[in-house]
Amino acid sequence: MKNLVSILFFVLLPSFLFPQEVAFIAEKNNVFFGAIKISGLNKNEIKNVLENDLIKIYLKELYDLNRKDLPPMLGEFIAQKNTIYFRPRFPFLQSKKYVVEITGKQKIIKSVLIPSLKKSPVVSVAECFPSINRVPANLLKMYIQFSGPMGLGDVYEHIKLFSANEVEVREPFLEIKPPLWDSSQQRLTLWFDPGRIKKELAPHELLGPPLKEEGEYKLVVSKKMKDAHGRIMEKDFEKKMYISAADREKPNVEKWEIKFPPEPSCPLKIRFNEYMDYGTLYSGIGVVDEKGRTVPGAIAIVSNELQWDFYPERYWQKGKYFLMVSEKIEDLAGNNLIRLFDEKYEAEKINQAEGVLEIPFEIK
Amino acid sequence: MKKFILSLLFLAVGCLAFAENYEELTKNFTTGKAAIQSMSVLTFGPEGILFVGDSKGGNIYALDLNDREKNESTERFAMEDVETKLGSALGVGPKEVLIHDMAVNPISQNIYLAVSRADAMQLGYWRMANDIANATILIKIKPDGSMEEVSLESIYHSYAEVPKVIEPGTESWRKSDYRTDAITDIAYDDRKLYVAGLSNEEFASALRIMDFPFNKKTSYSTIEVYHVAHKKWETEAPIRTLVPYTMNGQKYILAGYTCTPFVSIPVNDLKPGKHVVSKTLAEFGSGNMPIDIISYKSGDQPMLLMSNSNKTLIRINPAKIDVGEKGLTEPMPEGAYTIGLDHDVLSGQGITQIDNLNSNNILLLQRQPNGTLALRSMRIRRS
Repeated sequence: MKNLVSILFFVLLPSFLFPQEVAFIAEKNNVFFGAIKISGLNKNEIKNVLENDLIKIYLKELYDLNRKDLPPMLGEFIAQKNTIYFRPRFPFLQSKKYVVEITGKQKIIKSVLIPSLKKSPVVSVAECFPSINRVPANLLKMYIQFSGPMGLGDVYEHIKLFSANEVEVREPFLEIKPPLWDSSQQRLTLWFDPGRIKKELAPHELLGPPLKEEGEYKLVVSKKMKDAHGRIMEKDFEKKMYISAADREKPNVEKWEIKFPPEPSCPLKIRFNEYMDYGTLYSGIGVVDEKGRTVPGAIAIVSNELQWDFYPERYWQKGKYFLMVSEKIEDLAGNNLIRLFDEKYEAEKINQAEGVLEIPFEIK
Repeated sequence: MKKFILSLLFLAVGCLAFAENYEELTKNFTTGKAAIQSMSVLTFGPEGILFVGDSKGGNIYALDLNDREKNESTERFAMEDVETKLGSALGVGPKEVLIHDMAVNPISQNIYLAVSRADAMQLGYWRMANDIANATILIKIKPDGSMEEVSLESIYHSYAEVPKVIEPGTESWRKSDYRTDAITDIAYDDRKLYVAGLSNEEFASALRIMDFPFNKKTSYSTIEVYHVAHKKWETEAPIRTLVPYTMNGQKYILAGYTCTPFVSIPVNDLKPGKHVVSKTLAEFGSGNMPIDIISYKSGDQPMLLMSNSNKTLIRINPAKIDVGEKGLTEPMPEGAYTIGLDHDVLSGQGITQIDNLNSNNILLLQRQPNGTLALRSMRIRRS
């Protein structure tokens, strides 16, 4: 009987024959990236350790408190050959030590330092819309797309507009606070002051439009603008702009070249009759099926915002579809399909631009 | 034997009713990932269904936690140093976890916490957990003190969109995005969910009534309150906490606001699209934000209990609320701190979250004199 007990004891509490090693997996292409690897146990030991909950992981600074009431870290143990991987439910903290505790005949306690992983690259301006350099004097909006999330601070002190002789243009942008960021804090929308663009308004008469026809300008985004981690950018971003006559014509759908997909594998393409506003294009055009359900897919805005391409997630199925075009989409001067930006306020016309054009097509 | 068969029969009928109710309430549930973006507020409904208000996503989720084993215990509950324990499970230190809300399943007495891994040092006088981070971790604590995570990856659930929630991107006076107050509290009563928070309407403070099981229908009212301490009528400030309560045979919403008006709104007044003026019953003092309000019975006496960000517990005897009486509409007299409804201010500092634990105890989340956070119970009845 005594023997039996000692055999049982041996099975439950093994004395480990092999030296154990604990390491953090820092290689991003490893399927166990972010996990801890515990090696040096044989298959029976691994089986016993996992089946009897004999292995536990703790944050070292808490483990060192030597308290019995702290639960081990949540996560998943995965056995592979002679190795146990612990994938934490929530990532390990960088530059912190964690403890692996294995309870056998003797207690094995190994600690592992989680290295500080390389910081994400410094953010830069990835794109700036409009993409073309030749813009109308009554350009309404610009979009600055950063390569990563930016900080929450002021932006207008870091974004300046200069005329050809390096003279700074005074307050060209409407300083909306908080600034108009997208939800990922990566794309900033800048509005030229509409009061200076709209004819017959006091700022227009007083200061004139911020961009003058035939002028040359330079938009500068200072490298001092900080990203979400508080880091400045590597260099200033500059965009040259040459100013053409003010655009006082609405986008005209009749002049668009719409290329409906000739085959189920082809995208749907729209070539506009003028350069369009990047922001309203993204949300303003879509495709629905016969039952009014949105067809999922990817939108590509190409040719300097002169073309809108739609690639459905799956090949087109046979049937009827509608290309849905919001009347709110705008050209570079903020003219939508119904109304010129500059037009005098007429409640009727503003409300009219709530509509959506439905252009039917069929895939056969 | 006859008695035995009879009780068996009762048991069977009881089970049937139980099952039917459960079937009915979960009829439009599906199994899958509950894509909750922020567990801003939690409250329990019947049959172990947990309602989660998601301010970031603008949705209410109903989760079937499959936690319906009846626990008739009248025992107290205590857990010391909750933050270090949570931190240990999540692999971080005690100052790197935030508890956003707490709810007790009235059937099983299991405690549920909405938790995030975030910097607790950012908490401030007016800065609450929801202003700092989005809770995405649901932790279950059993009466024996053991702790586990409830996975939302594959859970039987349903959800409904809260219409017209406030858009993100604007900073509030508390230096937080207004969107974090899209859903400030939810309460379930008789197949209805009452959902307070901010809308994108002209009068931003909204109270929505949603049918449960969810359908497409949400009744929606905006609320105005006379703020005695601020000396004005307010439509922007959201209700912070609410409880449905029946007085004189009529159902009311009793609600607390920041700085701290306490109001009543007859549920019958909450008509779709209507702007409702609430009745200010009391002003419990400025410089404070109410966190939770619950109803309970002390012996046979119904009571209301409100926890606060910067005050100790406020206890109200609802019998003292005169529904016929006119509300407060005059500014606070110079130098006064509270006015209106008679109430008790109880001993015990640092109590934030409260919920009914069982017939004898209320569960409290309380900051201790040594700086740690504890779950404690407050006895309301001696058995």
